[in-house]
Amino acid sequence: MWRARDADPAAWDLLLHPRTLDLFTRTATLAVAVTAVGAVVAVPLAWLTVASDLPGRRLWTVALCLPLAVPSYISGYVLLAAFGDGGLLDRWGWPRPDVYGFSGAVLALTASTFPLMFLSCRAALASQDPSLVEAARALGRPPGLALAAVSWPPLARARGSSGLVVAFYVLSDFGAVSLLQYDTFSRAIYMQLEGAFDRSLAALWSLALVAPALALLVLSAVAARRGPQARAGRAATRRPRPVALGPWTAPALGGCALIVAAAVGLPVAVIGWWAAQGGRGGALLDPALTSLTIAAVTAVVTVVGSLPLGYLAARSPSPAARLLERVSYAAYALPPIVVALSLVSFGIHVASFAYGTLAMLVFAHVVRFGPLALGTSKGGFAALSPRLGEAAASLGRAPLAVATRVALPLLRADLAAGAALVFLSVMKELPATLLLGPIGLDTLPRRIWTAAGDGNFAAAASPALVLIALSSLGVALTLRHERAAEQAA
Amino acid sequence: MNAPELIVDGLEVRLPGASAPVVEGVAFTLAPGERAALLGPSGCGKTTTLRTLAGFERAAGGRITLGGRVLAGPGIHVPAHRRGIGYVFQDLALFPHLTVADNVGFGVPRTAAGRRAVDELLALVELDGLRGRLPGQLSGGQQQRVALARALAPGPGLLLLDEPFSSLDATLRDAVLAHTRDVIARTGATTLLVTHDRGEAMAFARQLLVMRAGRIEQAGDPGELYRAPRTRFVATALGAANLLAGEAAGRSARTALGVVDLEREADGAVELCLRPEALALAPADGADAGTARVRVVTRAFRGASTLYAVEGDGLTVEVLAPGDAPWRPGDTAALIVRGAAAVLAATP
Repeated sequence: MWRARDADPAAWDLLLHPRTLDLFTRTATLAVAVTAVGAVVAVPLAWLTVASDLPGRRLWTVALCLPLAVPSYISGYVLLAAFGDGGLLDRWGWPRPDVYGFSGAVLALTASTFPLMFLSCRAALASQDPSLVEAARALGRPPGLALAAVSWPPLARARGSSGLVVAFYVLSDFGAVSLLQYDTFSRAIYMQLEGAFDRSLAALWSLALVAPALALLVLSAVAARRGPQARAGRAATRRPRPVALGPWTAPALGGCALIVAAAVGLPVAVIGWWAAQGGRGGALLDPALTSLTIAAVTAVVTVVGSLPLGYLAARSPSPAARLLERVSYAAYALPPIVVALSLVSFGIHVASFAYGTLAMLVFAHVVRFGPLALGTSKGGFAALSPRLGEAAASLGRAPLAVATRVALPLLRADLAAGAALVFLSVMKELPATLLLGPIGLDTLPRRIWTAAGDGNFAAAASPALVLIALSSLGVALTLRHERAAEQAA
Repeated sequence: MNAPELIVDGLEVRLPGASAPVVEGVAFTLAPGERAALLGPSGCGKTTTLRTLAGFERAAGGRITLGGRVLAGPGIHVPAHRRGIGYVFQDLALFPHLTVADNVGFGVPRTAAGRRAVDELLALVELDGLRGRLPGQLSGGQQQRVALARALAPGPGLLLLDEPFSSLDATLRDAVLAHTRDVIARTGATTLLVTHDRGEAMAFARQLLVMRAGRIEQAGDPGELYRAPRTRFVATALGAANLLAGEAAGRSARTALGVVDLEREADGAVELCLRPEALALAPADGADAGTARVRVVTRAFRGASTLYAVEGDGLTVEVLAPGDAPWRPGDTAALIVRGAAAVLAATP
């Protein structure tokens, strides 16, 4: 905001410049397309894995969540490495589809985001009280119609709210669109910054990007508040009888297999093939260690910092505490490229002594991923009954002893989960690492980014495999944490 | 152990966000070793009173003195961990990460004497064999005993119990209550139980405090309060009550049910309380001319007894009859008043 003020007055006209409008149209088109394609893929899959008798439903569910572990810039890299110039098909001299620009960006981003919608729709269907369907049938609806009448509203709500999240992801995405050379706000901002053409123009575009991003977040918050309708009466423990697919079983299995092959099989095969080619990528150990160190330091700092904030957020009813919590979430609610840009400005103008240092990069990560740790800490404190502290006090224990002997042991799992989430997010973070890291910093994402951008697909393969393996852990952890939170609720 | 005396005087408590005080002008004294219960409907301020005694809430006015030591008063607020008051929570609040023995030992020093105290209490609540278990592995009744032992382990002079039996199912509740009463009696601690269950309160307490809207409405021996409630609220809080108007003259009054004896002297228009067991039904044709004739409206058979609702002269009253009473809805019977009626103060 403050960067934008410095812009030449004429630059304000640029906000209405054809280029700005063009970027807006391109960004919005991409968001709509990814959300729409994602819904077409996710809704039937959710229904199949929850409500039907599809063989191997649990296995399909896990397989369909796996793409969450592939950061979008790796999806982009996979498309290039398979279909791009110098990619697999090119090498073999086969005809290949054009993956540069819009179509490639849609494919890469859909592959990375459809599991979000899939999970959300699944949760909506699975939390349905089966007696609702039975009630609809008892009131005279035939089975198919009863199911549709009862399942459709929560499904539509889940699709809507997760669609907003996906659209936000698309607005924020930097890696895939940059690799596949589709201009969106994020990519244009980065090009302006790296080319050092005009920082103020980048700032203006950031504003233009923040507005729709915030609108999406507000919308999804509203949607979440309307939330799942409260169940009337006791929660049913029974599972409904799955719908028999009959002759449709084979096509359904084929569809699932196709999606899994495209979203999981293809990346693994392509990266694996390139990794087997070897290449002059250099030793992996150094960048891996650098990434590990940065991620570990960030994780420790955020978790320690999240303790007082999480306590206040969970316990204090005061408006000041609520405001503090909202503000600390703000950075997570902004597109990462915008956060990185504002910290670049901050570094140049205010904290020039820190600009371009590792400390600055860690600070950027703490600001951006702090909310992950805050979320788990707050959840932990909220689940911790205030009675336990009172019980310890009535047994003669002073507040410090209450914290070390009761609170910390009980929060351990939540704190560990928060630290792990931050750690894994930092491991694969790209834009801030590119813009704020010291010159010559060698991390895994940087190495993938540079190699993929240069068409050196073999050199990017091994770091990509390591990152995917690491972020699979993160996905498993997030899913487990959410399931635990659901059960506790 | 020498149990201390608890004196509460003019206690006032305000909670954040509420304009009116939740507790106002509460005053009572518990003699050393007294076993008392605070009875009232939910939201009446009884749990807030208890939490203020423990030091979890701050008193806005009044004074709390335990064994001569002022715990709360003008400018004084002794924090909970320095009060030496045992507390059993409604949800028990056992530390889920500690074993039974560690839970019970949480408030005692790790010395030979402390360990001995834990052993004694575990034996007293009959949990010796489960000392290595985690709370999650225990039944509801066992968890309740751990909570009691934990609160008693540091040897508190005053023990506060916040609805500790409400999470137990009805069949278990009587046995646990009796056991709790015995364990507390052996330690000799002064005890205050908070509950909304009148059966629990009357079975547990030697002194009963009935609370309404932040104030204590009547206090005394449970039997006395049941027999002679002074307000309509206390009358209905302690059991089924037939409320009826009467014209009193000395120790008797004229009512729609005929002339009834009174618990205390009164004159003029009064409101009376007659318990259902103070009434009886008799065959209509054998009765005196002076007794009221009533028609049976409903009948609820309860095994040992049968509860009737009967109607006569536009007045409906409940009558507790023996289990084998023969009347059916629609029958006519004579209504006999067997006991004395309590005279209620005119209530707003």
